[in-house]
Amino acid sequence: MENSRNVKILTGVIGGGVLFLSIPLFIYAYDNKTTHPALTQEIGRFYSASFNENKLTAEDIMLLMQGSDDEDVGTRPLRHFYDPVHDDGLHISGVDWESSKEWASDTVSQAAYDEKRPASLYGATLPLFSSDTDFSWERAVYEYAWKDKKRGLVTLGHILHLVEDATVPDHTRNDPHPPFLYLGSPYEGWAEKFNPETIHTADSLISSGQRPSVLTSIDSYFDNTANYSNNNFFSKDTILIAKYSAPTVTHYGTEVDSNGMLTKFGFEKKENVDIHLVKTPLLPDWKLILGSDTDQYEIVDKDYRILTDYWNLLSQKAVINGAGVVKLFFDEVEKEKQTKTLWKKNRTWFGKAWDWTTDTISSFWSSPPLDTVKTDTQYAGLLTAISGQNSPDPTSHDNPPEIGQNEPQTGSSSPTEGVEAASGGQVLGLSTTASNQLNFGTTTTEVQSGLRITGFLSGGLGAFTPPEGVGPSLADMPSENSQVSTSTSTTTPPAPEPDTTPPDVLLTIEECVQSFSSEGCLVPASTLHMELSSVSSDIESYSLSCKTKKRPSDAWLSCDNFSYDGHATSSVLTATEGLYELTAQAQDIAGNESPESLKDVEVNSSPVVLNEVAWAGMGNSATTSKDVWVELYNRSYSAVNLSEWSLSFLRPASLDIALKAELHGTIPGRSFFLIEGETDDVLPDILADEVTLLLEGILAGGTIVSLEKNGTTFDRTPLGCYGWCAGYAPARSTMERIDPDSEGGNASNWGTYYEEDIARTHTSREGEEVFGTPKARNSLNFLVAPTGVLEADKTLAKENSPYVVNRSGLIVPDGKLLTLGPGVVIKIISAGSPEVTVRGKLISQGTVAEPVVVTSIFDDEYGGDTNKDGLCSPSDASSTARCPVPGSWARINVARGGIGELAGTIIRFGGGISPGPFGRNASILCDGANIGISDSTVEYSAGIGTSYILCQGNILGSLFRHNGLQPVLIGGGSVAVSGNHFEHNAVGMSISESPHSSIVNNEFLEDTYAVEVINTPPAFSSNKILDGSAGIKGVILKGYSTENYSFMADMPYIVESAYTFSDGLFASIGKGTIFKFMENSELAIAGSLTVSGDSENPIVFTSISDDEFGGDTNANGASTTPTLGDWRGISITGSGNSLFDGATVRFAGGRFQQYNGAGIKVEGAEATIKNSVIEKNKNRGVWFKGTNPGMISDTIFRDHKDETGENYMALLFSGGASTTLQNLVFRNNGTAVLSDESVSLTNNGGIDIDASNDIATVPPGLFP
Amino acid sequence: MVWKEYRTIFKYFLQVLLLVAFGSAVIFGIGYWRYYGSPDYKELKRLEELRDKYMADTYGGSTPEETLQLFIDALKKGDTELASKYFVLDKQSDWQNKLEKIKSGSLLASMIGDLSRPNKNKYAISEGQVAFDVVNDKKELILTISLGRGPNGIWKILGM
Repeated sequence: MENSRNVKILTGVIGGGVLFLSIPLFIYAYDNKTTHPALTQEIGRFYSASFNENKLTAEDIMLLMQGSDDEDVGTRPLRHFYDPVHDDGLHISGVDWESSKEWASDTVSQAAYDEKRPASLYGATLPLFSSDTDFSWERAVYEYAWKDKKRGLVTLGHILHLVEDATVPDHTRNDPHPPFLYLGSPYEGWAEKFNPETIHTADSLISSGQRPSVLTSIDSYFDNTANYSNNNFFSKDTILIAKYSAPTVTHYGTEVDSNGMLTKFGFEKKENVDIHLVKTPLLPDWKLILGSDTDQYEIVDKDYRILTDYWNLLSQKAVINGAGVVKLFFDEVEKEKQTKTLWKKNRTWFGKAWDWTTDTISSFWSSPPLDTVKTDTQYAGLLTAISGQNSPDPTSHDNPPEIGQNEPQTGSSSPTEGVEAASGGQVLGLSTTASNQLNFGTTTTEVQSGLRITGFLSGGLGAFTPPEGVGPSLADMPSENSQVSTSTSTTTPPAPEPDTTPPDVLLTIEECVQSFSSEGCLVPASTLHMELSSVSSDIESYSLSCKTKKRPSDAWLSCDNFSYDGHATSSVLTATEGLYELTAQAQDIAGNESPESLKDVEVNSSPVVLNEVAWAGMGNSATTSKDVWVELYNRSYSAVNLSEWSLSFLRPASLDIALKAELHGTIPGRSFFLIEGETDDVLPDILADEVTLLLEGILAGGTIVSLEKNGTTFDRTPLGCYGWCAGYAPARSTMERIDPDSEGGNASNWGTYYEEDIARTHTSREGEEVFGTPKARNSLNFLVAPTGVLEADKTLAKENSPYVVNRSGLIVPDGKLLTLGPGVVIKIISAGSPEVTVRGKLISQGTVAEPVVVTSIFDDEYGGDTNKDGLCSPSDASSTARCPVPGSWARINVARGGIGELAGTIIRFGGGISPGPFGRNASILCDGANIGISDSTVEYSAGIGTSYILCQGNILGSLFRHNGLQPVLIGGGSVAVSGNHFEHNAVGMSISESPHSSIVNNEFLEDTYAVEVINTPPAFSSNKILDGSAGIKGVILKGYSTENYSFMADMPYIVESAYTFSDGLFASIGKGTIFKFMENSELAIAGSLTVSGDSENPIVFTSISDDEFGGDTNANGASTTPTLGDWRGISITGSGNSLFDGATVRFAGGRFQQYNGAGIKVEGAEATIKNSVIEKNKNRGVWFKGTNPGMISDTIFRDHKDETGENYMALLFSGGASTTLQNLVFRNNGTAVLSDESVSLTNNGGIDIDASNDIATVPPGLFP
Repeated sequence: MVWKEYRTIFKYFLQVLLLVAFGSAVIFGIGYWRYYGSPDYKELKRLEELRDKYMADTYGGSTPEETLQLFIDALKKGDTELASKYFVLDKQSDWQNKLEKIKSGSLLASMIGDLSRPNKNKYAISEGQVAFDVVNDKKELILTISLGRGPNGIWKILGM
C-alpha cells in the first residue's frame, strides 16, 4: 500500500513536470513547421553550393532542419529576441530575458534551462556539455568535433533558428505580439506560406553570384543580422517610433493596386531600388482627431508589396548569414581539433583534479619516456586502459566506434591481451611498469608512443571505474592522431605555457604605391589588390573588412559585393569613386588576435580637372585682351602634388601641341588652382598659384586644353567644337565647366559664364569687371539645371548648396525626380520672376535641424551672401546690399500630374505676381496635382502662401506667417490640414467648395479672420483661436452647401449674409456648436435640419455682437452689444423634417418683419422644437406657418420685448399650422401665443403663461 | 530456500525499491519546485491566463465581416466601451480612449460612414489573419482594418 502511494506521488510529480514543460508557447517568429525548416534548408543548400569543403549531405541538412524546428520547444522562444540597438532581449511582464545572441552562446543557461539541476553544477560536478537541453554554439562545435556529429548538426540547427529569428523585425525591435494563433505579427503570419517545397532563396542567391557573409564570430553574425532587420524594417507596432531612429522613409509615392485602388507608400531607397517600407492611407477626419495616437502606417497591403519586399531582403539575409554561420561552424570544429579548447572546458572539477593527480603522480614516479605526446592524448590511452573500451578517434568525422566492434586488427577480445597494434597492425609491446605506475593506490600504467590500446588491461586498474564526471568518459577522449593518439606516459612533461602573444598583421595595397597624394593613398584604379601578411608563424586566419562612403560627412557603409575568405592572404576589391577604409586583423592558432591594421584609400579616377578657361582675356584693351588664365579643381579630398603634371594647348585639327606648360606646387583637396598667363597681374586682386606662358598656346591655335600627368591624359576640353566650346569673346566671358564630376570631353558639360542679380567682385588690371569666377565655384555649377530643364533624376545635397535657379526657371518634367536632401538651399533670382514647375516629382527631405530652404537670391539668412553684395542689413543706411522682399520670385508650381512631397522645408519671399486664373498667385501652387507638406514654413509670400486648386494632399505641422494673402487656399479637391500654426497673414485661410477636406487641430493668431468658407465646408474639429488674435474668431460661412453636411463644435461658425441648404439636402448640427450671425444674415434651410444639443452643450444661434456665448468673436470688446433683430433668423421651408433639440435662438427676427420675421420660421415643413430656449427675438420668436404637423415641447419663450414698446410675439401660428404643444413656459413677452383661426393646436398640457407677458394669447383663452 | 527466506529477500528488495523511489521523488520534487519559481513558469502561467481570457471572450463574430458589423453596430449605439471589446485584449483600453475622443469630437458618424463603405478590398495575410482596405469615392485608400482569429475561433480586430 505504501509502495503504491509512493508510486502515485512519483507519477504525479513527474507527470506534472512533463505537463508544464509541454505547454505550448506561441511567441514564435517564423513558423517552426514551415518557414524555419525552409530557411534552414536554403542555408544548407547555399552553404554547400558556396564552399568546396565540408559539403552538407541531404541527411545533414535534415538534421539542421530538425534542430531549427526543435528550438521553439517550451519557453525557449522567450530568448529568441535581440534588440541590437539597446543590446537587450525580450522585455515582458517585468522580466528581462536573455537575448538570442547571449542565449546562443550561454552553454550554462541552456544546460540548466529545464531547472532539473542548478546551473552551477555544469562544468563543476557535471561535464559542461552534458545537458540534454543545451543547444549552444560551443556545444555544437564540441559535439561535432569530439562526440556525436548528428547531435552537433542538430545543435547547429538550433543556432540557425536563432539567426533566422534575428531577421524578423518584431524580434529585433522588442515587439512581441499576443501569442495566440493569428493575433500576432503580420510579417510572421504572411511568411508561413514559405515551406521547403516553395522556397527558392538559395537558387536566387547562387544565380545572382552572391556569397555567404564571412564574419569572425557567432556574436558578429547576430549583430550583423539583427542590425540589418532592426535598422531597415519595421515591425507592426514600431513604425517610426522614437525608440528607433531607423529606418526612415526617404520618400513617398502613390501606386495603383490590382484593384485599381490608389495607395500611398513610404519608401526607402536602397542601392537605387525603392523598397516598400510602409503604407500610409489618407487619414479620415476621425483619425486626424486622434493626433499623435493615430495609427498612420501599415505594413500590409492588398498586393503584399511591403511584405514581399521585406521577405525578399530578410530571407536572403537569413540565408547569406546562415550559410556564413555554417562555414564558421566547420572552421571552429577544425580549430577545436587543433586546440582542444572545448574538450578541456568540458571537464568537471573532479576530472580536472584527476588530471592534476595523475600528472603529479606520473611525474613523481616516472622517468621521461622516449617518445611522449601531449597530455590530452595521454588520457585517451589511459582511460581506454581504465575502462577497457575503445577510444574514439575524434579527428574523424565518423561516429566513434562502438565498443569492440570496429577494430579489425584485434586478434582477441581477451582482457588479458589488452594492447593491439594501431591501424598498421604492429604491436610494439607494453611497458612492464604499466600496471604499477599510474596508481590510485594500486596500479600504474605506461604506454609508449605509437601504440593503440583496445580491450582491457589487467592488473587491477581495469577494475577501477571513475565515478561519472570524475575521469574522462569514453566519448570524451580526443586524440591528435590515430597513430600516436594513445601513447601514454607516466612522466608527461609540463604543459606548455599558453600562447598569449598576439600576432601582427600587415595590410598592403598594391596600388597605393602610385598614390597621387603624398599625404595618403589616392588612386585612380577601380581595382584594389590587397595583401595580408604577418611575421607570426602560427597564423590561423585573417579577417579583412571594407567600409566605404562617398564623402567625409557621410556615414560608413559596408562595401557591396566584398567578401573575404579568412584563409587567403590576398583579396581584390572592385571600387568605385569614393573613400574606403580597409581593416585587417590576424588570428593565431591559440586564438590571439592582432591589433587592427587600417588603410584609408580614396579612389578617384580623375582627381584634378580643368575647371575654367579665360581664353578671351579680361578686357578689351591691348593689354587686358591678352590676360588669359586657366583654373584647375581638385575633386578629391586629398592634396595632390602637381610636380609631374602639365598643361597642353592642342590644335583642334591635328591635336598637335601648340604649347605645353609644366605645373608645380600642390592643390589641396576640394580646392581651386589658378594658373595665370605671363604675369601675376592678370587678376590683380587674386594671387596666382602658378604663372606660366599660356597666351602663346592660344595664339598658336591651341583651343583644346589637356591636363596630363607623366604623359597620361587625365582631363581634356572637348574635341570637335571648331574653336572654343564655350566662352564669349565680346564680353570676355570665360568658358566654365558645369560639373567637375562629369566628363570634361563632353561639350555639354561646358558653358559660358552667366550671372544675374549677383555682383562681380573681381576686376581686371584696368578695373573692368571680370566675367568669370576665378578660384571660386563656377556660375553654371550653382544652377540646378543649366538648361532650365531637369534632364535626368537628380538629388541635390547640402554639401553643394546653395543652388541657384536663374531667369529661365526650372522645369521638372513628367517622369523625372528632383530630390532635395536635408540642408539644401536653393536661391531663385529675381530677374524674370522665375518659377519652379513640377510635372514629375519633387521630394524635399528637410528636417528641423537641417531644413531645405527655397528663397530669394537676395536672402542672406540662409546659404550666405550668394549674390556677393554683402549681407542684407536694413538698419544700415549705408549698406548697398539688396534685401529680399515678398514676391522676389514666383512659385513652386506642382502642375497637373505632378507630385510634391515637402518635409521640413522653408519657402520664403515667393508669390511674385504673374497673370493667371484664380488662386495661382502663391509661393506654392498645387494645380490639379498632389502635394504633401509637413513640418515646413511658408512665409513672406507676396500673394497666397500655399494654394491647392483641385488637389489631393495634406498640410501637417507647418507654420504659415506674414503672407500677403491667404496662408492657405483650397479650391475643391481633398486636403487634410492638421496641426498647423497660422500667424499674422494678411487674411485668413480660404476654402472653397471642398467638402472632402478637413481642418483639424490648427492654431490661429490672425488679424482679420481665421478661416473663410465658400459653399460646402470641410470637416472642422479641435481648432483653436489663440489669445491676441485681432480678427474675427471663427469660421466665416458664405454661399450655400451643395452636399449634406454635419456641423460639429469647433470655432464659432459665422454667417456673413445668408447661408443656404437647398431642397433635398440634410444639415445636422452637433452639440456645443455656436453659430453667430452678422447684421441681417440668416440661415435658410430648404431641406432638413437636425439640431441636437443638450442642456449642458446647447447649440446657440445668436448675434455676432453677443459675447455671452463663444466669447468676443468679433474682437471688439464691449464696444457693441447685441440687440433684438440683429440677424434675420432661421428659415425652414420645403418638404423636409426638421428638429430643434437643445437649441438657443436669440437676437434674431430681423430689423424688419419682411426679413424672415422670426427667430425660427417654419413654413410648410414639418418641425419639432423641444428642450430649447427662444429669447430676445424681434417680431416673433417662433413662427409656424403652414399645414404640416409640428410639435413644440419643453421650451421656454422669453424677453420678446424691447424698449420700443412694440408688441413682439413669442409664438405665432398661421396658415393652417397643425401643432401639438406641451410644457411651454412664456415670460416677459409682448404676446405669448398668437394663432389665427385656420390653425389646429393640440394642447397636451403644461402651458405656463404668467402675467409678465403683456398679452397671454390671441385670441384670448386659447389655452383654457 | 524456504519461503521465509524468500520473504526476507523480497522485503529487502522492496525497501531498496522504495528508497530509490523516494530518492527519485525528492529529486523530481526539487526540480518541480525550482520550475514553479522560475520566470519561465510565471510567464507560462501569464500566457495561460491570457489564453483563457481569449477562450472565454465572446466579443466578436465567427467571420471577420461579422466582427466588423458588430463593431459598427456598437458605434451606432454610441457604446464605445462595447465597441472597444471587439479589439484584441491588449488594445481594448487604448481603443476605448480613442473612440471616446472620436465621439467627443462628434466624428463617430464619420467613422461609421467610413467603416460602412461598400466594396472593401479583403485580403488574407495568413490563414487566420485578414485585412480590409477601405477606399473613398476616388478609390484612394483611407483605411486598413486588420483582424485575426483568436484561439476560440472568434475574430478580433487587430488594428485600424
